[in-house]
Amino acid sequence: MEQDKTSWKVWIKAWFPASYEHVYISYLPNKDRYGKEFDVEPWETEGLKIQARLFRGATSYPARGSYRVMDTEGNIRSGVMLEKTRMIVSFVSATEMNEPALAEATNFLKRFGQKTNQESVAFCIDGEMYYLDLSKKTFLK
Amino acid sequence: MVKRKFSPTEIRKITEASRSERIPIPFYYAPPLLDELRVWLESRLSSSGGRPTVDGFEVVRKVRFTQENWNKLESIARNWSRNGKSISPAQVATSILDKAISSLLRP
Repeated sequence: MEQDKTSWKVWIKAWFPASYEHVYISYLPNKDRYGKEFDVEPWETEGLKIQARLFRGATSYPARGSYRVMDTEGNIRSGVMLEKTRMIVSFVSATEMNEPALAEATNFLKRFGQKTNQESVAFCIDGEMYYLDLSKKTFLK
Repeated sequence: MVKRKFSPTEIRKITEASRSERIPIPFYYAPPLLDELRVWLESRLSSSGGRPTVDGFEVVRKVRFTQENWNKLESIARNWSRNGKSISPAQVATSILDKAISSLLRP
């Protein structure tokens, strides 16, 4: 299927030359920093609305995520944590990838992280993963 | 490669992200589009006894494909059918064509 993916990229670029220039993805886990589950769906709905308003549209996907908790010295603090993560993907034009939009999109993630007791939340732009740390004591890896 | 408007440093500053890292294997582009098409197609398939058809698509025409493209459509259809609903290569082609035409004629 790998060759198919490559040819799909070419196909999409040929058919949708001006539809988007950037990809913004936010990640919403369904567990807090202690592994306690919560209902992530209302947050997913709000994220979809915000990204649609800022970036014209968004699609969310159910996914499963895993990570290990490490302290600042790199010592592993936990085993592998598993969670059901929602990914909210937006294809964004160059015009709409602007400073106020980025700030608002990530302010939502910070609020999500604070209200649902996360240590860190993540988003991805054009293949670069960014981490918003809500606790200075630890980071996730 | 897409030209960036903001560098990672600039994005970290705007968003107050503490750090960032390059993901060496980008997965965007094709998988989201294919997922979107699959979800769209599955939501429109209905059956009154025979093979499910796509709701609202009443015009039936014969069209030709290259063998190479038909093989790819078959490969995607096999993949999409793993979820339980039987999807044909022609239905995959329909979903792609509908998306392409909608996009090209977007105001």
